[in-house]
Amino acid sequence: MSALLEAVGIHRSFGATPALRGVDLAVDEGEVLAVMGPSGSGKSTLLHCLAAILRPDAGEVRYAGRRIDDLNEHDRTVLRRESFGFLFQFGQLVPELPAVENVALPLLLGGARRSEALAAASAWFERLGLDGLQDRRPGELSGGEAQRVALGRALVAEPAVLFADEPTGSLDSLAGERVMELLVDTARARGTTVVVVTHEPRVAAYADREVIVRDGRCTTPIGAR
Amino acid sequence: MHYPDRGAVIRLGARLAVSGGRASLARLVLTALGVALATTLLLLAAAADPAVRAQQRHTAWQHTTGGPAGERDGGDPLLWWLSSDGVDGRELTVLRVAATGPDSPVPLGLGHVPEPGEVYVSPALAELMGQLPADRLADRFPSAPAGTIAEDFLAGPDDLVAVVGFTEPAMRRLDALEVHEIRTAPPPHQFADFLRICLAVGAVGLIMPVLVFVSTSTRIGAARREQRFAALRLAGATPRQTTLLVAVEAGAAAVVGAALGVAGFVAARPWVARVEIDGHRSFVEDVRVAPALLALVVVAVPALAVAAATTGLRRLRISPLGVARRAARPRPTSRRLLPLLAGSAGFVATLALAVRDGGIGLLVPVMATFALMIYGIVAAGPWFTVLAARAIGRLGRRASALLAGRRLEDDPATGFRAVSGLVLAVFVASVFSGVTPALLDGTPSGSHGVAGEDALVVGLPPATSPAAATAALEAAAGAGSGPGVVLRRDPDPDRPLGDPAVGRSASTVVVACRDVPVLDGLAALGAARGCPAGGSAWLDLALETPRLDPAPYTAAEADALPAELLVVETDGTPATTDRVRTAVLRAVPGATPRLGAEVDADGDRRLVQLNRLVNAALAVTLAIAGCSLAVAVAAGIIERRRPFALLRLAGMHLGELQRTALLEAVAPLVLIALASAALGLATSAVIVRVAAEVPWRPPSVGYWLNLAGGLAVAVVVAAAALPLLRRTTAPSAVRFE
Repeated sequence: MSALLEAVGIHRSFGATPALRGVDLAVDEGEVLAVMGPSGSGKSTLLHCLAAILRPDAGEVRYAGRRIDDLNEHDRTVLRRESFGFLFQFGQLVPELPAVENVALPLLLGGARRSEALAAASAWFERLGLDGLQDRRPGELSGGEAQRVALGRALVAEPAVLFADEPTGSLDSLAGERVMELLVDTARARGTTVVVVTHEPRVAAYADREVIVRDGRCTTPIGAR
Repeated sequence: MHYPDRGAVIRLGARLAVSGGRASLARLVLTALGVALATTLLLLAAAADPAVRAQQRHTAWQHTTGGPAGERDGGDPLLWWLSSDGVDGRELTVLRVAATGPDSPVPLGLGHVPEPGEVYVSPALAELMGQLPADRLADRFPSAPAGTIAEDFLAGPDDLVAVVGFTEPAMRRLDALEVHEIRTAPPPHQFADFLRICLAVGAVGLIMPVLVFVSTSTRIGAARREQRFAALRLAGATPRQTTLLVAVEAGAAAVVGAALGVAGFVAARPWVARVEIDGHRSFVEDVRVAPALLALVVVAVPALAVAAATTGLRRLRISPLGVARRAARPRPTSRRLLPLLAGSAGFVATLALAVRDGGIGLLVPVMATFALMIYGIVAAGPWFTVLAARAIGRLGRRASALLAGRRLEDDPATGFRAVSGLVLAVFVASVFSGVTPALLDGTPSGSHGVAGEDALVVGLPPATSPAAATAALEAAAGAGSGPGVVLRRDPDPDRPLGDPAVGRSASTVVVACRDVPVLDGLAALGAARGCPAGGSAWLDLALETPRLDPAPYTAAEADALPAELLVVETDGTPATTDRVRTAVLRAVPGATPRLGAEVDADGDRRLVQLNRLVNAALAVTLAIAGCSLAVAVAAGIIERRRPFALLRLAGMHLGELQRTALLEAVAPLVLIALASAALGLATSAVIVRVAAEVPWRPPSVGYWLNLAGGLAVAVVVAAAALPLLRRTTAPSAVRFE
């Protein structure tokens, strides 16, 4: 099976500080991959490069066989909107919009009709156990609820790849497990590829495979699947 | 790959604009208010020039020139005698005319040249004639008004003008001008031209603080908004969509503001028309803006607001990762002074050219270079802010000084933005405060030093006989005047004075020595110099300090000389002076009685009015600039509530935090405002020397008090926002969002 997402020898520095020093990584279609590593190891930078948020200084990133690291900002944005979904630890909901419109946002920005976008978004509330919370503002939701709304927003456009960066970092263990179960179950049911960055073994345990980023390089742990 | 329609993004932007909570609402309201204010002020500034030009056009006939009788052949000249009178403390313009034939030009659109004894008056004069007793006004004219003069020939609704028909022989006796064509275009080099330059420069100076206010308003809640845009980027919004969202938000407020601004302009027109330009109010219909210019302003101001908002966004690299990193801007260097230097040099050059070429042709370049100077101040502001930051960092010993200095040095543009409105207001105030004292001082006194403020100085027509002059004096006494004297024309104007080194001017008259004690001013001169009893003396009225020189005429010979001026004392009340004027005019038609105080005030009046206009404009500017400072300080505190709250948690006292916020506002304000004041005064010196060609005088004490007071008020305004710190930095503020 050919890799859906591939990084080939990517380097990325912030000023004089190198974050990635030649990372090679391939993620198969439908695979759930956990990227682990200590703080400052470069794992989030790797995720941002794979997701076309950051451009690597050197090396290539391919998605579905197409090189994406050399796309311009507009094309990368459209790629992210149409093919990728994101679940981050903080700051991903627009506080001025009710939950249902937050979920519908990628569809609205993609040009969907408002009624269709809201209908598609509402369907996710039941799946994610959020029924009745559609009209709540982000400030009126608990941390776990807000993160599930963010998960709905990440999945509403039915992305091929879901990128999650410490998705449970701000949640208690129970809420975290709930979010991860929903994330992985939904992804498997839809064949969505998942790249999740975490430093928590419990989160990594949901993945099909783990890689470790240390000092800007990617390794596979001993005894890994 | 399909592209979303803009309508969806615009709708989303509109929703975000109206559902963003209190900060968003405050931003919208203040932006709309700022745009409304900017629109109104711009429209008023744009309307001021047509109003001045309309006045110039309406009163162009007063600058009609002609020649003495017989100078030009052909056609039927109109005999023309224009004089200035006064009534009820106001200026009254009287035009006496006589047709010499059927082709004589018709004055002031009256349809025909008034017949002898026929009188036409302006509506304001007609109204006044109905209000005042006949012996104060109506008796000056040979008959009741036959009609009114059209507005096209009046400076404004309050203009007092009369056109009186005379017989041709009577006009010949007055030595009236022969006019073949009545002037319809204003002559160059009028005071109004200088006023237009001042208004243009003032308009530019007035608008800038308003634009700063608009820009400051669009920055309220900026940090939170930037976070929101980052979230939108993460959800798939392209940079262009983000820009469109910002434009929709700012544009919605700006469009509402522009509509309010136009309404404000319409509402303000009658009030603005009341502002006296060159001594007269304007007709409301003259305070107008050409439709194309109106459309331009209504489109340009919201466009500027949108541009300000989107430019602010462009300076940020909003990435889907959340925090928008500010695009690295180079540390300001002294090169930022270049626009200011270029603007200053350009202003001097264009002003000199404008004055040389008649003023108006180069009005736009003068405005443009003045605007460049103002931009130069804005461009140089961050550099000055860095200087202020380094100074407080070096001199301060407390944590507050260290924090304020570091923050200002790190982001001098934001630090300066908060005070820029006031800095510009100080600059404009200094320019005008530096101009007016010199001009007021440079205006020559028109009154004769021998006559007090309450004395009526009456210019007599050329052929006034000694008997007529004596009769006029008696008529004046009968109307309630005090003592008076007749000043006479010397039949030998080339005869040297007693002291040939002094020279003599055309204003030298002869006075009988027995009349010298009658007027206090003359008595003092007579006592000082001596005046031979039974003799006469020359009196040069052109000298700033008049002097008496013995003349070779006996008192009896002097009495027989042609009369040139009457000077009669009055009690200074409008009722008495009006009656005395009426009596003198009935005795000597064509005489021009002016009160000493009126003659003195005549030269100063325009500048006093200009000064009043400027002060009113400055009060508005300072108020707007003060609002900008308050909004900027409050917005800065709200934006940094989290780091401030963390500092409080870390043990920093609230007082120390308040000192930090205050220092950030006050340090650049004081330094740059003083630099601005110096530049403004230097600019005023240039204007005074180049445009008015009089020596520059330092501004009055009032200016310095206003400057100190204004800065003190600014500190108070900045301090007024500090209580916000207590609430926003409470420990609970650390855990928001």
